[in-house]
Amino acid sequence: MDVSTFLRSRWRGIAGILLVSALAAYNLLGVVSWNRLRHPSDLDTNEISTYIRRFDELRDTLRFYRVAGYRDDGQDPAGWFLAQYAHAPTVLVQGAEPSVVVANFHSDTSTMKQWVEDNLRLVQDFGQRVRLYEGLGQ
Amino acid sequence: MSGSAIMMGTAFLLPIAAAWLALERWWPGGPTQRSDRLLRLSLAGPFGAGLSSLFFFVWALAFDPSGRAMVIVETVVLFLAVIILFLMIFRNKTREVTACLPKSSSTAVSESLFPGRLINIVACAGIASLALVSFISRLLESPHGGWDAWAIWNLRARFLYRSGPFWTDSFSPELFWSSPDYPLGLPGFVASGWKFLGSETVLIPMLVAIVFFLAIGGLLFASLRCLTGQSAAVMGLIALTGTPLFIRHAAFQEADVPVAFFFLATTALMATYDNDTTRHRGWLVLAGIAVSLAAWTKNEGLLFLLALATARVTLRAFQKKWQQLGREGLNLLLGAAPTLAVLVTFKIRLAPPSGFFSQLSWDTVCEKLFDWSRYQETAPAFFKAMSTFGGSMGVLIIITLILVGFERSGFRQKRWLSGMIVLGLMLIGYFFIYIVTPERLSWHLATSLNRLLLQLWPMTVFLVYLNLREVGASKSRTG
Repeated sequence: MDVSTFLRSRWRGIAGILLVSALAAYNLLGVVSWNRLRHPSDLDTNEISTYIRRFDELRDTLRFYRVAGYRDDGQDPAGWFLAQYAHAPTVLVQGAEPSVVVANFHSDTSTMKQWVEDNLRLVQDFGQRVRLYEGLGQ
Repeated sequence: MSGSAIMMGTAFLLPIAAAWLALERWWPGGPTQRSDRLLRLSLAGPFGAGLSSLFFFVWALAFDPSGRAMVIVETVVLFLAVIILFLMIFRNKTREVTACLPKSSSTAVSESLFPGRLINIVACAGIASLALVSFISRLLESPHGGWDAWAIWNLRARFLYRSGPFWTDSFSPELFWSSPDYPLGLPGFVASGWKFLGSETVLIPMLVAIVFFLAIGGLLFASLRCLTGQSAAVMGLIALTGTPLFIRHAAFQEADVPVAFFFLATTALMATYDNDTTRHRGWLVLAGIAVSLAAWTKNEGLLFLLALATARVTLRAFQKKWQQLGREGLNLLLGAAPTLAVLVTFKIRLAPPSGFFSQLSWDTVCEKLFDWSRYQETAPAFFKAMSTFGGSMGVLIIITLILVGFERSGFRQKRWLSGMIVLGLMLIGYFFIYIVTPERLSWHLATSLNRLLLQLWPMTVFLVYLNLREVGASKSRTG
């Protein structure tokens, strides 16, 4: 088949479909998470589940409070947002004014940790650097 | 089957079944086609989700959402609706089953072309399966969803489900970073699912993501199959599901794919209305429902509503058909009014001022509008994002359009023009949102532009393929 016949025929339409399909298949193969497909039922092994599991015990204690303070030593607000995601419906506000304060530390030597330990009274240590303190407003 | 599986099935299937039967019963006129059954089914999932979410909000507003009463009442109401609708359809069994369009001559041509049709089916099934596998693998990898999903949508669903009588704490200004002014379409449906189940599991938002993923693919395929032909439907579906960004964000459980569904649904239903020689008002009512559910899903839906109204007024003004414009407006409003009433109630009574608009004053808007450097930053970002969108899928789409060819007469038809005006207005609207944004411009562009373009991507694919020439067809179609 010469080029002009090809261009006039319905085969060019078929070529179009094959071309889009080839690029789509190439794109999709780059998106598939093969590792996850090998363990499809394991929904707990992911970054977010692991991070918020640290708060499970605290959440039971905190559920009687509608508002709690929040202090952490991270540079990224993600720690605060994830703590809020874990503790909803308690609203976590930045600061130490509310009657209780959630402390979520990532380091044992941070300035914020030192400040919290010097100024607030510890209510309970839940392990994994998650603690509950009495707030300044108490 | 365990009790929780039955309740999960009830939470999802009852509203979807009610929406599907309502669509079966009142589907607008036209001769039969197989693909419009898929069209109804694709609309039923998200419409059912919207119905359930609206019910949740209205109930929470009127009563205490913490008890089981809401679940019991919703189950009884939907179950009765399903029975009544089923009986209505059963009694009208002899009535002609209706569809969106007469079979075009080109569709008939394509069905007689054995190699082309076979390749269509194989390519479509292959890519759709691969897309589903990619999507599911990504969904399993992030069961809590992407950043926006857990920081906004699933967080709000947790508040609605866990708070009981204090559910309005979800809109506390202290949660300013989680956009508490956003409407409750998605979180309402997720919270409703947890209510039915009686416990909180990531499976519910994952199932919601699956519903929208399947629905958007089904809707694009079915609407193009109805309005244009098989080749357009196949290529449209392949172009959409072969877009990596679409797969990732659908699996991230963000509201961008649901709102993209409602944008596409409105565009497809309006195109069907423009194509229908009987001008059945049912298409307009359905489009009204779709556009209002877009506004109930994300604030961008309100911009879409405005763009749609502007497009219709512009088209009818050119034709000087004012009476028809009034009729269209009334029927669109008929479909949209119930959801818009709920949305207005939400915005007035509960939603805190939008973080975006509350930081804008007339002076700052004017200052930014006349700041040339903002255009110098925004325009290249738009150009870059649009030209590389979808792993260069756009470039390939253009090549295939040239290969397959398109119906030139289609570019003068209202069904295409109306959608293109809406698309253009949305792009202009998004562009100027960046120009006046109170956020740091580079950060705002980097974190949201691709998602905004994704919202418009399914309707763009629909409009691109709407005028595709059917493979093997040489004559112009009418429509």
